[in-house]
Amino acid sequence: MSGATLDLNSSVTQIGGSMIVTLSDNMTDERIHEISDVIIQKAYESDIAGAVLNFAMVSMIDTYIYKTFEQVSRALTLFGVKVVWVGLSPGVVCAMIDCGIEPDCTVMSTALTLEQGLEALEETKGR
Amino acid sequence: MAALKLKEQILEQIPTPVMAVDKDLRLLYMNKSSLELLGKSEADVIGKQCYDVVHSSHCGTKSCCMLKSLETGETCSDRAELPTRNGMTVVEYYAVPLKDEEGNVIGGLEFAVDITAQAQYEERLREQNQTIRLMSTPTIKLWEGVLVLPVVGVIDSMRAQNMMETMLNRIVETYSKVIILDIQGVAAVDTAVANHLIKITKATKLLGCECILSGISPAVAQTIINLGIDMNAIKTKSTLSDALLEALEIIDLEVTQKQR
Repeated sequence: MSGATLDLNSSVTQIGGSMIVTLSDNMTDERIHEISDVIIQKAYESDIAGAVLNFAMVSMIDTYIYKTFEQVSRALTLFGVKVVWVGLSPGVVCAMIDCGIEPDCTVMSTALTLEQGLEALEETKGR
Repeated sequence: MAALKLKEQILEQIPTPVMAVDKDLRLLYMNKSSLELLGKSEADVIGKQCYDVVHSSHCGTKSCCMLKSLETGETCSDRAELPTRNGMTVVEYYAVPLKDEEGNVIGGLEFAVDITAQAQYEERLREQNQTIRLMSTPTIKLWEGVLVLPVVGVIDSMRAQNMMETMLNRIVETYSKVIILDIQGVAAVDTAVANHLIKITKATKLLGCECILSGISPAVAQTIINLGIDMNAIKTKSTLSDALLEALEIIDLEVTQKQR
């Protein structure tokens, strides 16, 4: 197991039926690829109902990052896992829209903070 | 000889400050206008370093046009602040290299135009622009978690960008779940405006905030249909009150008649 993968494990945590993924800043393409593999693998192995992708530390989202995590969200939806994106900052969102990214909000829901994201997951579980 | 005298007089009497320096920036000449402006006599300045006499905001820095023009052998101009007898003025000054018969640079000539009034005018214009920008995006917190942005006037891409930035920041500040964009006061909605609105909606959605578009007048509705704009991506309502009801619905609140 390489050092990078160890790092990734620490950013993917599981709390009571939900998976929380904290994404770091300045991710390389390679790392993004690795982390998406880990997320999908973990979601498959463990019995979770929801996943939160936390972008709070990410200062830039380009088309590649967006596409990758959209695909990850799609994959998780196939497992019946609800995905919530949280922690996007206004600047990041502005830059994303300016990049011409058209977010497909059918595959994931969004929330401002990690707390609100977990609340959103709880709500769907209750229903 | 008389011709030379006349030429000297012309330079002396021109109302623009003119001065000449040698290659080491020692003053060779200053006309009456510049001496008056600085409040000095000719004997005070000739032979001195120009930066010891003039003290403009560029003097002794790399921005000095005279240095640039001595180096490149080309005319150079820029804006600088210049302290004079009448207080601080803003000048646009031009540095021209002086050359001998063989074309070697032997010094420089500099003249300045007072543009203080213009600079003040520009400053005022910038301030007004800022004010208009602030006025054009008044985001109001209507309820806990509900924001309203009334839009009046014309939406161009500059303004749309501004609106988006303000909205996103306000959403984060207030932890809002719903934002109502009221376009009652927008005269015309064309493809470009609709596109901007759709973009804004998508951006707010990424922050977990639903965007409702309200105040769609019959005329606007017709234009949208005639232009064939696909507004399915946006929740739309005809009036602000309808939008508010929808917003309260989203945050799990309802309005009931008081029992008497």
